[in-house]
Amino acid sequence: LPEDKTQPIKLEADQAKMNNKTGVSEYTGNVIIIQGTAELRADKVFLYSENNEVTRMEAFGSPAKYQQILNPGEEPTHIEGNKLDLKVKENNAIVTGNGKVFRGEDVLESNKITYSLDTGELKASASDPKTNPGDSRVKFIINPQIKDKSSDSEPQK
Amino acid sequence: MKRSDKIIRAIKTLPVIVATVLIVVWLSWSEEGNKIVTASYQPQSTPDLTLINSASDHYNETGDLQYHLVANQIDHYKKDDLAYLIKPDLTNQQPGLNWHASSLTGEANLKTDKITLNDQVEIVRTTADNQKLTLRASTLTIYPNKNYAENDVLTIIHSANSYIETKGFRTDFESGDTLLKSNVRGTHEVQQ
Repeated sequence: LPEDKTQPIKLEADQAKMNNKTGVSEYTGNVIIIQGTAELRADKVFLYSENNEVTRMEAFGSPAKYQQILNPGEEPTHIEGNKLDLKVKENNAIVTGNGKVFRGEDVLESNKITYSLDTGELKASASDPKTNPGDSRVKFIINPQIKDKSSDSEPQK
Repeated sequence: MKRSDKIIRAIKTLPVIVATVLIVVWLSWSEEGNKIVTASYQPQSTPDLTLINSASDHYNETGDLQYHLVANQIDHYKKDDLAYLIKPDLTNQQPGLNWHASSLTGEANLKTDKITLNDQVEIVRTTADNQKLTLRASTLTIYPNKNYAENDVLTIIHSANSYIETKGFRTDFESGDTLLKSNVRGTHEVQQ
């Protein structure tokens, strides 16, 4: 939700290392990060901060998962992939490696997805066949909205 | 009883007395440096040295100041080479980092180069740009020669806008890096 960004960030992990010089904290083991309705779950997360502000979360998992509700009343959008790079300042998340985005019944699969954290806009690109010889095309599964039959039949005048 | 009988009996019992005294002396012979441990020697209950409101600077072999120690009272016990500290306050200055540790009580073991702080332990790390990180716990062990401190108990870490709990931590005085050993739970307030 829009106000998620103003909520406190809650973290849980088995272990953590705080590097004083770089300002990067490394959280490992069942990492859960929650901010309002947004939730990140991963095996390892690098948290970058500047002037005590979190600027970036680089999550690795099998897969790493992120979910958020864009607008009140909507279903959450789920994102997963081998690596999720959430850039707080740029307000986007870059998913690389077995990337998937689930929104309701619709699914987008690609090896590289850029997802806008505030508009939900998606950009999926096929990965370079040389570097990724496997299935590197973008797949989009859109489930048609099945209209309720009763609403079709017009009352007999 | 005639006088001669008494003398004879005394002569007979003399060896027994001498033997008893020898046994007591032999039993009380301590292995520690063959020092005679007489019945009056009690486990060291009184310090051999007490410092009141002391301030001391501690250097490593290369002559660098390791830490500055202030304490309300330091009691040193010669036998164990231990110093008990009351209200110790340690300061360790590193390039770009200042460490300040304090507690109600402490123990400095000079043989094993270990200082253990107990009871309301607080350690504050201040960076050059005055960013503070405060760690609080019930106990903390400092290894001055190895330049780090650690514990294995619940420790609460505060910084400008974050609050973290961990079970056990280890921090390196030189680099400032801190390892949170397990059960890490934290909240980071977003600045509005």
